[in-house]
Amino acid sequence: MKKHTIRRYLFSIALIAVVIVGMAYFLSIWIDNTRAQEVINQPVENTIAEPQKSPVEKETAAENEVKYFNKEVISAGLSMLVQSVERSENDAIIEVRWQLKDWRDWKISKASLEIDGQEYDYAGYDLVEGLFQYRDGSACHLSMNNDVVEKECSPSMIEEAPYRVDRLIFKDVPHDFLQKSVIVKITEMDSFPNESQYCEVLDVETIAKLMQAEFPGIELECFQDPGMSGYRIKQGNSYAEDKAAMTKAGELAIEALQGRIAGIWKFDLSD
Amino acid sequence: MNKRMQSNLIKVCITLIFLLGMLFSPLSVHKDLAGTVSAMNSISRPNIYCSESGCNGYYPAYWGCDSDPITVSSRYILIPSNVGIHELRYSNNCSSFWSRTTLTLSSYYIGATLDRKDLTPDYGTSSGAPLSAGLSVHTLMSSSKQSCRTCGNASLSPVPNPTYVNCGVWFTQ
Repeated sequence: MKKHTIRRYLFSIALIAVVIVGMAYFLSIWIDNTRAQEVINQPVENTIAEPQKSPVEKETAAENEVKYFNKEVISAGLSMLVQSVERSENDAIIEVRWQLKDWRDWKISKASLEIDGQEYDYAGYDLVEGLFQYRDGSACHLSMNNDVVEKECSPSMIEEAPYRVDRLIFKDVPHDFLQKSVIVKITEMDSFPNESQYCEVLDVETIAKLMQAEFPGIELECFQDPGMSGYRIKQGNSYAEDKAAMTKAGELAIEALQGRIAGIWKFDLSD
Repeated sequence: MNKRMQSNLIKVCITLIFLLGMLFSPLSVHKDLAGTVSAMNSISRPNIYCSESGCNGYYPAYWGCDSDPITVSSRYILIPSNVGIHELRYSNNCSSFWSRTTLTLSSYYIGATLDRKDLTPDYGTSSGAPLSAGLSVHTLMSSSKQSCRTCGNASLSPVPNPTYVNCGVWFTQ
């Protein structure tokens, strides 16, 4: 009798567990489908627009002047589209939409702005929106709404091509630069490893091997401490205080750490 | 209803509550599917993520939040040539921000600050010595529900901690 009761109890638990898991599964599918439908209904372009040759619109505000473009260049197999050029106080802001090669955290690392033949420094970028795919197979669309990150994730996004839209910043440009000859040239994208992948990507043993001819016996070690990732010449090694050896190791480390895509994405934004 | 039936009903209810708790627990929702076990086992705690304010004051590797971050804002450190970059890093899994500064030219001190608009203290990290190219420093994390921005610098002399130069724009989730 007692044994029979235990069996019935275990069977009840198993049955309830199966029902709950099943309900949760169907609920999650329903939620995902609802989200996917919401994303489809949003006016998010997931394919690169047809290239056009001339600016389509121009707006002037008190401090900001914006020209809208739709110019596309494909290089190194990746598409880049200039969407707008804006003057914001002393800066030029170029909004570009570009394809991401894979799940890594790619950035536009080399760009130049030429105004009437003079080059201006590329100072950084801010994300506008993007579709990002992650290593675990998930995907999310992020967009900035007045600097507030809005996030939408859906399994269906993994089928779409990842991209991001950035506002590239160029400092201290002439106020009337939009009336001048403007050429934007993007020549490199790179990806620096995530904090905890640093040593895995760096591979100091290979770097030490490459340095042996110039610095025989050199040994390097990599470290990932809280708040800092890096490498150093092993303590006690005869090159531990050698500046030339550290400089050489630095050059090789930068080369190893930065996944690079080189190309020429050149845009003439003159009227 | 007899006592036996009452007893069985109570057992079923307890089991149901337990299973529901297991199923919808915040810890089970954030399981890391990729099995991206961090190389820095001594300071990392992979597989389970923190979330929002639960991440405040932790390094990203501790909760595995650095497995798939996105850089939402960055500024090159131009003095006047480019010697490094600082970035506002955003973790989708953990809903948190942190700041990272990376040196691309040897022999500079560097610092990174996560400037938190409505919270104190701000999180900063700076190197105690000049570094080689390729080294990077990063700050503790803070919830992305609170407005944050990245600041960072490189210098031939020690960088104050926290540092508020060359800052990017504010972001909130």
